[in-house]
Amino acid sequence: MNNKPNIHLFRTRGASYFYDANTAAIVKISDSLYDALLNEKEPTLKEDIEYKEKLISKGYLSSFRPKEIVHPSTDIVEDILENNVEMITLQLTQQCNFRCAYCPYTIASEDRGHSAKRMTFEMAKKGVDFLLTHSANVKDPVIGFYGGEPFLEFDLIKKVIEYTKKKAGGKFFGFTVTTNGSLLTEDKVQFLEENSVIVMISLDGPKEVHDKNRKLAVSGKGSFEKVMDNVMRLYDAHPSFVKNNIQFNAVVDPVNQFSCFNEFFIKAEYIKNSSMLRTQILESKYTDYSDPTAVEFFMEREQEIFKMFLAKMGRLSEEKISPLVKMQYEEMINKLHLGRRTMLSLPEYGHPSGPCVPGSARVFLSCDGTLLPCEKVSEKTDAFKIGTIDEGFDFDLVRKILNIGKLTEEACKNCWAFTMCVSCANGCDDGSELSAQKRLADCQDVKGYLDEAFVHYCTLKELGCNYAAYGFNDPVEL
Amino acid sequence: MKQKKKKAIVYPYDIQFAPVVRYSHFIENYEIVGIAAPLSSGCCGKDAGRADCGDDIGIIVSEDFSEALENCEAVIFAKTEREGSYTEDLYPKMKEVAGAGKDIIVAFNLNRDNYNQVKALCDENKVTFGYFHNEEWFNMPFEPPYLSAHKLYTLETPVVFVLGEGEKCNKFETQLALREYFTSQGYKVGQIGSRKYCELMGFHSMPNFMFEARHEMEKIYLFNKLVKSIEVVEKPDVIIIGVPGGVASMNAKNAGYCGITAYEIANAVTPDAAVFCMYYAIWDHTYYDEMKNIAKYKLGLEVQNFVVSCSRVDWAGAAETMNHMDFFTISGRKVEAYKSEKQSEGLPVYNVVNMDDAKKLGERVEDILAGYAEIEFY
Repeated sequence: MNNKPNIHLFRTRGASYFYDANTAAIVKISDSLYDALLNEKEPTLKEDIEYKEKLISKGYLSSFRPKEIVHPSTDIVEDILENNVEMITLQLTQQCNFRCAYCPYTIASEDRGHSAKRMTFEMAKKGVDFLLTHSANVKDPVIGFYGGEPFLEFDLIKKVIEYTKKKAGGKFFGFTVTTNGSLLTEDKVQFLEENSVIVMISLDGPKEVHDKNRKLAVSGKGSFEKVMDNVMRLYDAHPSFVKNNIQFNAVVDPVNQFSCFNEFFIKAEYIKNSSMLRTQILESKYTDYSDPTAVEFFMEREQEIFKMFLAKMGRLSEEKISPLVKMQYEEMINKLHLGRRTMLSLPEYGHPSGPCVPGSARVFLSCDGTLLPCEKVSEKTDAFKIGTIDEGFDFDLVRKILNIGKLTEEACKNCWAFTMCVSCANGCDDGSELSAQKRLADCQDVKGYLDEAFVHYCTLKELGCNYAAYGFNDPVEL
Repeated sequence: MKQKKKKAIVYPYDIQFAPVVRYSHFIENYEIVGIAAPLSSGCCGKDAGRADCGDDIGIIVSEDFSEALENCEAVIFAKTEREGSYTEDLYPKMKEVAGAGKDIIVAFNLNRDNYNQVKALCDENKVTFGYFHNEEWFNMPFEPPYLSAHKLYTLETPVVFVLGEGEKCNKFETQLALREYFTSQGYKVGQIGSRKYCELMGFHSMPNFMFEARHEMEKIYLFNKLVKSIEVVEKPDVIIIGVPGGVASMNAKNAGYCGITAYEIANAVTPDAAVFCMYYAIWDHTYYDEMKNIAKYKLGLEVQNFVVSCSRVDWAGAAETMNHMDFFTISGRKVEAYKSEKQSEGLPVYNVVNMDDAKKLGERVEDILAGYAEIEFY
């Protein structure tokens, strides 16, 4: 039995803290008490001894750890998937007119492969009916169109939207499409606007950056000009549609100057006036993080994060903040401020946070009728094939993925990040099955991210950042 | 001689209207012979009783509205959890109904313009229009005799409260189950229901003044006066009151009315028996003790019985979403197993969508009320 306090110690430049795993509280402590806890020794200073006793009497510093890893929704998986499927993503085609360097379809040996496979209308109707009949408890269910490039099957998109509206009985259904933006002609845009479709366009940055990874399939040439022509035309002719329904997704390759992304995304009016810009840094397996340009990129990015923190302390105008780092602050607020719920203790039987109930949040329907937990997981890994459209869900498989923490039970039971974890089954895929080693590697990244987020969060608080403006859950400070 | 009931179908349909269909014999002029619903209701092709995970009702929910319409003389347009679009779905269907010369009964909220539109449609087609939804601009007729204000009247008639954790926890099913039991035993029942279309079922809806911007004390006096009026005018043997909403806020983001309506009603009338309806969750004895204590010290009343529903709160979602609660629907089999387990532990927990259990709950409440009659006070 582990008798050590279930805590995570961390320090900012100004103070020492621990995150209490059992109560999800962040507690400020003296440097000397920090040292004592770090070295697993009793404090020697009178005020530290008294303070530690006070903390223990109030339920902090407990060594309690869960007895067993079992997800609380395990026994009601069938009930949840009967009426609470929130979204279905239809893989309309496996074909694409792009060959992006980091796309799993392009790297065929890895996850998926481009092929001539396309979804029939009959299969799409089954998918829509599946959502209609499994979303009675959902307020606004969503149908997503995915590819390959979904606009290669625009007629199918039209038919699916018309079919859904006919069958919905007046209930609102949302529609989203993820596209490379190259096939957005005026007639398509008109239809999308009329039907309030959310369109996510992939745009990686200025021409030289975008074209490096996102090439046209036929010519092998860059796709920037084609996409930009469409985006500019869209912005001129449909400004309110851009503002409300167009989102941009940028996969940022760090082997580029940070400033060139920054300038591009700050200056672009159509992005400033779109509904959202989402950015993610290209994973290290697709690019070289040790390249000197990449090293410089990350340093520049840190500087931009610092500027963002200055803005949050009111010492710099928000307008000077890079859109590429704003998301980091929002994520931190969501995770540590809005999403952190203080409690009396961890449960005896529970599961680390992270996994959704597979199939409920955004079930993915492949061209051939296989159901997968979401569009992010590999279609080649059998463990993710959680059913078929004709036979429904395989609940045993769903339960297995839901209880992914079973793979690393001892580590999870003893982990201070139990209620802050963001790791799900997708991070455990070793190409053929779900792997404990992969999950443990993922775990290191998660804990590293959380540790950094704690430091940033408390530093900002020390320097006067007003989290109360966000409404809920001020951190506990004794 | 009693007038023959007209054959009616219900559209749309889900868990919200299941208790009305389950106890449809209380509807005075209409007999429910069919139910239609869009596919998105999750009810199509299944027995209507599946909607609240209870005993079968004996009507299979159809996706084909036009086909169902052929076999009826009226359509009851029902309130549902996820209301469909009036312009895209409901009004076009009303036109189809009126065009076929059949009555339109509306049991969901219409705004004044839509009300006038439907009324004009019915007048034009010379069909009956019934509207059952108590709201600010359309108060259900109830004229209490004069009683002086600013006084809390004592009631001579036994009063039963049905209250609960919040919406969607079988409070209305329980109110109807108790009405069913007491009427079947020959008692005359006076009743104020927690919903806004109770007049459809032959009793009073919760009055609008309880939700208006009035001083809370005034609401308490008015509600007390209303119940006293029912006692004086209707001369019931028992009064059943369904308490809207929950007895407390669910959490900081879903505060609802913070249980204020329950507090006001409990201050207006003291019940002789109370049934507490709860969401499905695996609780031990502590939970039941806590709920009894909340009722006792917050509302000043004693809860003797519990009803477990098939709705389970999505707590993860409730913690993140402001003013919106999502629910999972738990299968009837699991609800029944949980109830049986609790009963075997000696806890008075019932599953009112199991008709045997509904009757047992009625018997138990009757026993509690009868207990007061064993000693005669003058």
